[in-house]
Amino acid sequence: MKPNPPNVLRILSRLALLSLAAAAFTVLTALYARSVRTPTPTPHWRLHRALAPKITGLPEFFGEGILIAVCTLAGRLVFRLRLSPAPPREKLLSLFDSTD
Amino acid sequence: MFWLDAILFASVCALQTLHFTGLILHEWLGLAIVPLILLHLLLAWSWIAAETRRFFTSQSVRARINYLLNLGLFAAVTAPTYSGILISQKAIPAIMHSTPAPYMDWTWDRIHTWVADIVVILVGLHLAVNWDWALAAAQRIFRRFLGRWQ
Repeated sequence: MKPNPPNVLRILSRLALLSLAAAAFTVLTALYARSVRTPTPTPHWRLHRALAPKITGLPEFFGEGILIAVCTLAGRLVFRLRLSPAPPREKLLSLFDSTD
Repeated sequence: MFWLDAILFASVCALQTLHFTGLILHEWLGLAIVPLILLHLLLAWSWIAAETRRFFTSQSVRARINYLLNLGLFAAVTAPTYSGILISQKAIPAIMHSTPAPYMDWTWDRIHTWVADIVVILVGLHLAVNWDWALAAAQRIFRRFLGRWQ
């Protein structure tokens, strides 16, 4: 199947836009990095980073998942984040209304 | 889209656990996640385009916060990606056929680590915004899976 040229062009232009935005943020990060001074650690600090995967670190992986889930929960319940306003019933529930 | 997001979610968890993945897998996964993020953004392009156009005109506070949250996540993701490339000891030298720098830039390493922590928080909030969609997609897949099983 031949790709539709205008669609390919559209995708490429979108990728170019995203790259441009990423480049802008990268420049800002580089400016920040230049402005901060971090003390150099001891020459041995790199030794703490293992090259090969370690199965003993698996709980950490799930821990990160839980951490993201906690942030999601906080976003839903505390900051009321959602694409559209919550339905009235959900609003009542989130306010722990006992009438339900 | 659901599976792509699930892979992105698992990748973020894996990238945060250097002890689990090890440095080599961490670096290659960090590079592999870039096209996945781009694909994620391309698939959500209609939303991005519509919300960008509406941002300065008639938008509710909720929509503006959502937009800024997503923009912040994009900005936050670029920092660990860029700093990761700069401090790479395995993947980038392998791609460029060069030897890794004899010393690692400590400033970039610090930025890499703490912005990655911010990414985790923003991913959680991003998931909170799109929770209804994610839940509906997961239910749909689960039902399809059950239907095949029965």
